[in-house]
Amino acid sequence: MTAPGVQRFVWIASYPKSGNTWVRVFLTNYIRNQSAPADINKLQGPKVAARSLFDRYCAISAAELTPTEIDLHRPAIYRAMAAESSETLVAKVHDVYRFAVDGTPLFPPDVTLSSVYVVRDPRDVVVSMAHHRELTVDAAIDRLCERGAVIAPAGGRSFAQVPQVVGSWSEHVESWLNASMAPVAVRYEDLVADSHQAFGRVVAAVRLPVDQDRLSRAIRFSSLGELQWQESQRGFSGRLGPSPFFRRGQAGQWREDLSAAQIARIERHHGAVMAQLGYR
Amino acid sequence: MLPSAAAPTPPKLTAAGVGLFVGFGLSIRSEIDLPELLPGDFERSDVDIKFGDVPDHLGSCLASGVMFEASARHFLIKLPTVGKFLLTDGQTITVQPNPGTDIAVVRGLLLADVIPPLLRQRGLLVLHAGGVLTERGVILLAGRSGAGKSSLTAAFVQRGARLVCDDFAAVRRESDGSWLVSRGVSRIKLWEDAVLALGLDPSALPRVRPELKRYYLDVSSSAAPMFSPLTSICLLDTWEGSDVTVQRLTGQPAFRALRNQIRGVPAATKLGLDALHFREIAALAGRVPVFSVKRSTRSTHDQSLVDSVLAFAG
Repeated sequence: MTAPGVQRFVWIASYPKSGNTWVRVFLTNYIRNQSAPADINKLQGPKVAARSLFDRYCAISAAELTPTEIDLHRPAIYRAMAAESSETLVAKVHDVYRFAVDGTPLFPPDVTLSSVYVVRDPRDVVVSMAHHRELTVDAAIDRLCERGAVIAPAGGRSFAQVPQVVGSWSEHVESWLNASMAPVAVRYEDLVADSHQAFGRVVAAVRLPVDQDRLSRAIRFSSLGELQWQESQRGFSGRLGPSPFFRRGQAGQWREDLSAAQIARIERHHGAVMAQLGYR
Repeated sequence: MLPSAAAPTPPKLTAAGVGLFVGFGLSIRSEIDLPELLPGDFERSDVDIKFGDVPDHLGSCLASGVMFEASARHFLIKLPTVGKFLLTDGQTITVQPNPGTDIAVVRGLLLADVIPPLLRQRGLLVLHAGGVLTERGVILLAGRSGAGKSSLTAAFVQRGARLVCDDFAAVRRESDGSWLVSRGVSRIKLWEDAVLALGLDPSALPRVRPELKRYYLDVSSSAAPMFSPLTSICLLDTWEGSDVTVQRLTGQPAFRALRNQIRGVPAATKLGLDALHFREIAALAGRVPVFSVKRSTRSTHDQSLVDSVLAFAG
């Protein structure tokens, strides 16, 4: 039996390009509570999918292991991280909520303080992903529809991360919203439209006291203008191609950028889950 | 061009059918064939590798972590899907593979992740780095996982440098304060995109593991001597810019950067190795030039990176 761990982790889970980084920029500003905006390249929390974690915590490097073996050891790494940390670990997750082959949850409940699931209209995710990954819109739609899809698959030296199963957009949403750890679900569109209320729910989910002045300042410090300015001055480590990481940040951009056929294709694949989330 | 693979010399076998090899500055007697090392010819070995029963746990454990336990004399590595390795006093490696395990997988793990803690048991400093021998000496190419160490190592060999080591480098301080690097394996492990970037066909190369698109590139014909002098250390990383940047690090930044490259000892603090590491890294940073080399995340052109490294650190 593994001894129960210390509840240090707050998992910020999302399908890629759904606002995960924005939420972590906000949380970093809220937690640090400084008089100047936090550096977007020094966000709170560990990179829990980094291959370098295996080099640090394990006797065998991730590059030598199969994806199945990597999954089997991720929970033990997170327990080791929780055991040696004295502060809350705000961790970005793009995996679906899933289990290793031995049935162990990848994100161990015994070291989990709480979890937040950030979800965004898949029609806007497609627009954002196409820019981020330099894909055509149709290729981005293919990705959102690919069941069992994997990011950072083993085979590329440029990936500093272990393989992560993101599944299709619907698989992703359903895995997390049905997960036993019951994450607090936050819609990207609500973060845009009613920032105080939505980010306030994020603060409460992380088990921090909600202070309105602190909340206002953290929201201001994570505004799109601030993020774009920092990226233009210092670059951003999450950027992949020539397109800026922090680009438009709007909700509903798909109405201008997608064709009727593209919209129909997304809705045909994901309509049932979209309806549950109020995406009409 | 990369050197064509020379016909390997078969290892000298003892009467018991055990192979003799040299690598990492050691004479190794092994019941597992190690064609990645050069064959040896010696009476007394420094290290014996043998099959045998390995316990699930150590009796007097000082530190434990993911896949390992450590005591004063032993280091136990356990990968449930492959088998167990027990390192004793820096002299013996006992291997217990799971029934039916492909011995090539066992050998791969042995040379990648079991040898580094053994070298640490023997008092050597092991760094997360590849190494190439140029006219002026060894350049170590260090950096985090995914920084591009192995592909840059291969690009150097393609340009005529000799291979010293891939994956990790065992370094040793001489009495005059200079540092030597010992020759490791005579092959480089490359991910598929790095193989393609070198203009090679992945389907013609053996895989590191059947499930992974990671391949062995044999460069035994350009292996370096047993020991070579270390002249510089390059710490590889990526950045968002479009070009290559090279910056000399000195003082605390050089020390900190090198300390992060120590390999082979998870839980070093619990094992009481921090003071030793501090002294070794301080001596290394004080003697050998250290450079921070950053390539664009969007660039896969390793030959221009070779030029940049040679211009500053070669």
